[in-house]
Amino acid sequence: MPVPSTTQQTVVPEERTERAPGSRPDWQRRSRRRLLADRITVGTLVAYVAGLLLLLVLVPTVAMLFEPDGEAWSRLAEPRVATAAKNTVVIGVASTLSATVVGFLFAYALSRPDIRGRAVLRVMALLPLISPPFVVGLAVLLLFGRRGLITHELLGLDISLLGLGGLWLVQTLAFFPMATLTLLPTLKNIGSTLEWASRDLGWTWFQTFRRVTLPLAFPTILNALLLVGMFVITDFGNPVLIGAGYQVLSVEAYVQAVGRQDFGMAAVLCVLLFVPTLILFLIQRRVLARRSAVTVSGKTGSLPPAPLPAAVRRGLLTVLGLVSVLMILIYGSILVGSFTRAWGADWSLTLNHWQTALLRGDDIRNSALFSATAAIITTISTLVAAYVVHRTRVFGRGMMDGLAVLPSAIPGTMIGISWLLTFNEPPIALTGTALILVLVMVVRAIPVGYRTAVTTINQISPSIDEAATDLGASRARVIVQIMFPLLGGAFTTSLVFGFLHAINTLSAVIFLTSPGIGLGAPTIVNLAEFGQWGAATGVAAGLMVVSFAGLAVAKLALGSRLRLYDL
Amino acid sequence: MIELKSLCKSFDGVPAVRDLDLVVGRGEFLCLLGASGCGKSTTLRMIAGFIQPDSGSVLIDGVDVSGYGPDARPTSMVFQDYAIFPHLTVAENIEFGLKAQKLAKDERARRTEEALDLVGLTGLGGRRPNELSGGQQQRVAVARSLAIRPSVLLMDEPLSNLDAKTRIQLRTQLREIQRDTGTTIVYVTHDQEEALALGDRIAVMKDGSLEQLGSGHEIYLAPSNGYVADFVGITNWLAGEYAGGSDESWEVNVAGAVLRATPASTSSSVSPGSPVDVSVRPEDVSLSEEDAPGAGVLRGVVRDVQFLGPVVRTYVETGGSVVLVHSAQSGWSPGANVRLSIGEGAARAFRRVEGAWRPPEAAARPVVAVAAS
Ligand SMILES: Nc1ncnc2c1ncn2[C@@H]1O[C@H](COP(=O)(O)OP(=O)(O)O)[C@@H](O)[C@H]1O
Ligand SMILES: [Mg+2]
Repeated sequence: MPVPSTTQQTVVPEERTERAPGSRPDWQRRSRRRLLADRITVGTLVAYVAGLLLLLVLVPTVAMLFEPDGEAWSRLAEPRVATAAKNTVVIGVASTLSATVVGFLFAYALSRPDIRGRAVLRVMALLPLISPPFVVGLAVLLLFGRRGLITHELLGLDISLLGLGGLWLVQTLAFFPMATLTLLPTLKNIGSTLEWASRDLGWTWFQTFRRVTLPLAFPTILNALLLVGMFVITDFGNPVLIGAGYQVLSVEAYVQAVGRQDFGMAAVLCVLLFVPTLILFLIQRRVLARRSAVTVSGKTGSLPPAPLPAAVRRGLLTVLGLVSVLMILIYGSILVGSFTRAWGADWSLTLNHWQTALLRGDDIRNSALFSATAAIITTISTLVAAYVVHRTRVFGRGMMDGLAVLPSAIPGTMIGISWLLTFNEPPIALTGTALILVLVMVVRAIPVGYRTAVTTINQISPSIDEAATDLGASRARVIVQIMFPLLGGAFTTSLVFGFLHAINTLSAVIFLTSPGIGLGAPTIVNLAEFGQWGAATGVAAGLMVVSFAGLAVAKLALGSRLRLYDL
Repeated sequence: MIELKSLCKSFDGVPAVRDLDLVVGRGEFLCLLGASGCGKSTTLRMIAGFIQPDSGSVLIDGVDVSGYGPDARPTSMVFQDYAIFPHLTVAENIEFGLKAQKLAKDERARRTEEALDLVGLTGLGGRRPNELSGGQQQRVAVARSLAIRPSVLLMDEPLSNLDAKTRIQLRTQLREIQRDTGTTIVYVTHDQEEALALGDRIAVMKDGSLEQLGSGHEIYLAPSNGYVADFVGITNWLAGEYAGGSDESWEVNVAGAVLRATPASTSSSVSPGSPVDVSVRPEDVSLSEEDAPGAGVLRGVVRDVQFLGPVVRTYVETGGSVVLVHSAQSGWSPGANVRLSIGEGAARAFRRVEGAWRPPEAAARPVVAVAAS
């Protein structure tokens, strides 16, 4: 229809010329104002996130690299450094392998509906995730130590499990849940159809496991190995408690820093530990990136997984049953220990340790209070960071993304020592304050909080905030009225995660507590080192009660919306 | 050959398959047809050995395979979501089952080539599954199953994840493959058109039981009950009352007019006045001018005419209900007054039984006959 189009062509330019320059239409002026407001909003958020990450993550790390002088670096050649490095590698490799194997068995059992007692297995895998890892070490000290209940009292032996063997057992038990947590979604997702297809094509259960299940789970197994490896080689609590003479890098660094006040040497050891951790971390990021490209296609449908052969099921249940018994012994001994007058000498019951723990409850109270504060700061900061990185186009997003996940590659010992060095004197003198403890907890909790936040933000379709913007909402309004309400459940979940990470952290805070302001976790280790096991278990039990109480409150408030650990 | 003998299976006390008896002949293409949730997959999985029946037995080539796992049965399943192993190439996928049979390497290679040729994927053996389209993946699945030369090929809605064009293309290919290889196939589908196109015979299931077993012709032209008539193809329902007639032909009172209809079952319990539902396929109705000589007994008004290419759909309102008419051409336009006539022997009558399936209410409202007005 040529007639209307010609009239339109003549009308439009006329309208334009009619308008006097300067008197812009209303909507244009409004949109200019909003553009400015949006810039201010985004600018503020970026400044906050960048400032936080630079100050708390980048500055201390870089500062520490410049601490050691040439002489300190030259001491890398000392035999005790080589021994510590070798020990770290040995225990790291051994416990990473065993923890991943045990974790795989748990995940495999949890992914099979024909395994009974999965509820019990789930609790066993959950306990080490929500309590401090060093509690396992403390318990092994009580059970298998020189005056241990099992080694000394029951078996009358004079030997102990301290050293490499005990540490291996402890790290396996303390860190297998990390592997379980990583592997379970994949094992569930591999899908019954593919396994059925293999059975249908003539292979037995075992061959199906070898030819289908294992190869498909392989990238995730690799991921679990790397993750567990990072935790094991940087762990501090367990080696310091039961390593005995078996010195690893994190403990050696602690000894140099706290025992000998030799910060140069401590920094050198930290860097030595940081390098392999960082490498594992970088490999893990690549593995994760590649895995997302090769997702498993077999959907589960209504076809239930193939039942396990009876012998396999029995074998699996026997192994997992044994592990579960050990776990019950471990957490039970902490509980019993906290009511026992003097472990190994006087087995009468007492409430003294609980009284002490409560009377000297400052440490536990500080732990609870600081962790809660840190959790709130972490949750808000990581949500803002995730928003800035994934929903804006500002410069330096990649850098911020990297800095937000980097702390998971920094050994806790290194964070502790680097903070001690960086924040000890002006311009930022924080040591001895409560603030430094809260902030270091924030740093420890940031990576996991950030990952949760990114997942959540990415679940909110960009078209939702585009729609809101399109309807005339400013950035600030989109954030407050669209993002916040949609993030509700994830916000609480992230809070609980942050809280648990903060309250259970040991290696970073042990350098930063001061006589006036103590925390539960370092107190437990100090008490245990002096053989005050009753008091140590009392504080440990108290700390766990606080964690569980926090968890229970969140569970009550959120019910099934609290998706904490999907086991 | 497969024999299912009084097969039963319940999940949590809810029966999924009830007392199913079925014989599938060698080289036969049998379609299990039924609405979603009627127990088709469960039946297939019991044949494959994924699920053990609560009672009853499965015989394959005369051997009772109860207690055999899927790896020990001469069956092979093609899944709805293909279940191609994502970590193996196309050729490795096909070889997967051949390795389990411990065949020599060159024999495996030969059979893999053969299977690829059969499904028209020659030369794609080196591809990764994620480099293939859905249709190609499903052909790999078929090749993988055929390569092990199963006694029975089991297929569970294998085409339902594909687009319409590919679906029809693969249907034809599947028929050819079946004819060339002589494989026995049990094919599950909820799509009646697919069942008619593929099956030598069709077993219509409902709520875990067999409703009717027969060729596509039988099922479509002589459904044994109202459910089958309604589920397979499209039909018009007219509600009426039994008025008399022989075992071969009933007279049914449809709102005053008398229609002749073939009874689906000879029933002695039917008596004048018993409620009866009459089913008439749209293509068996023809329309004529209102006062043409020898026109049908029902009178109606054309409401809508839809041109679909090969067929024209005419919706005719007769009293309270709408009758759908299929014809090659239609000169009618909305508003025209017409008479409907029903082809000789095309109407089928089903005695209404308490508690049994009934046609949907709206469709079964009595139409107003010419005689009544
Ligand atoms: N593994 C199972 N557990 C519980 N109920 C099932 C299971 N498999 C099938 N069912 C139930 O059995 C009935 C028949 O299912 P199915 O055989 O899959 O139907 P169809 O394949 O005909 O759609 C349905 O009601 C379904 O919910
Ligand atoms: Mg089905």
